Amino acid sequence: MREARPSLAAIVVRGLLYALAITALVLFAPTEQHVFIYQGF
Amino acid sequence: MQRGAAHYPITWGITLVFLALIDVGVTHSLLLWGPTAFEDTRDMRRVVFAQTYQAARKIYAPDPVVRTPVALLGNSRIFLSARESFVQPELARLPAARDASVVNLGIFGAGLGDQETLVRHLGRLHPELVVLTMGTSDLLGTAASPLAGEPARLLRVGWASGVEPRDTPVERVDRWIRTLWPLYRFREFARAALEDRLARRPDPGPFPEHFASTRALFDYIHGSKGERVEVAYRAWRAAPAFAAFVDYLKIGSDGYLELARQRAAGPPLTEQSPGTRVLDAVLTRLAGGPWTTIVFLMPENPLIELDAAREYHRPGFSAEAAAIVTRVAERHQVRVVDARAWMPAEAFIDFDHLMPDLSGFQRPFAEEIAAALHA
Repeated sequence: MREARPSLAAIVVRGLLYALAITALVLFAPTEQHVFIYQGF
Repeated sequence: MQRGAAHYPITWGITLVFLALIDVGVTHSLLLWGPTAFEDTRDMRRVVFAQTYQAARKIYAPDPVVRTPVALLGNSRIFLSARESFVQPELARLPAARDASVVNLGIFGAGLGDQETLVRHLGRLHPELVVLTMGTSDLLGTAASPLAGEPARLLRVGWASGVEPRDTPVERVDRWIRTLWPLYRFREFARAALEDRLARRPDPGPFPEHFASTRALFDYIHGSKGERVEVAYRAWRAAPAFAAFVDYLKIGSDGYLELARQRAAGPPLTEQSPGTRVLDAVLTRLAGGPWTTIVFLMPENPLIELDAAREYHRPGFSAEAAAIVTRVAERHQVRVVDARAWMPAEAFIDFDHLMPDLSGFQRPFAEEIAAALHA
């Protein structure tokens, strides 16, 4: 029996959610933190 | 049974399309590059981050009035002394440079390794001329002024390693992703810009376009200590002894004096020193670019020669370092402008930094830019 493919709308919504999740991960995942206190003047 | 959308390649194809749209929407818009409050911070723990963001903006979202860009690379020496608002009117007076627009990419504390990273982005700016400004002490890396620091970390891109000897596979892959994916490259800046826009913090205001007096300058730099600094500065001007200048610096610039002491006590400089090798790496990149490059040795305060106790300088160091810079530059057919003796002591805030605007450095500097453009 052929399996039913999700509707195009479902695929687009899922694609958008994945893109937003990846973007949030990129923006808000912790990054290397350095505190460099400039004392040059 | 129906399989989930995640099992279909088209879902991931559409994810990539949305990621590309989000990327363009953030990295080509005011969301990332619009005015922010954080970039004007006076907090010395954040100032390098803020100025690195400003340098990135000048490259990736340039001012539309910029016609023939002249990129100025360097640290606080050039950040302070060659602000666009000081140099541009001087360039307008010179026929050979009338179309030139200076783009000051100076960042406080930026070392030569940071410049090597910044040069990797310069192609986006399409400069006609690149002026690599440096002090002779920039060949020395110290704890307070490392050869490569936060700007190199924030702006790292490219397929080849930077000047840091440490380059793990994870760091390499991270740099490659930053090279391919602008949002990933600028994520620290994007996060700061988003937080800024959501939190609406008060903006301390941009760096002043002009300074009317030393008092106005000291008030800007030292805040509530401005008046005391001005009194001590006037005392030195009235009786210009070396000790009086150090007394003036002790009021508002203790950290700077410590930096000068670290440099004076630093390791000897040779052709094989890390700083020399990093300069060679920067000039290798600059000489390969489609622009003219000059190395500009920044003015040094002649007062330092009166430091009899050798606490803040090493006698002969400046000449040795300048000779090394000249030899490295010659290998790359890059001209060196030696401006170390251009300015008198009263043009300086300390041993290294010229007084912004008040020193008048912008006039001879603009003439040098015009000469380089005309050459």
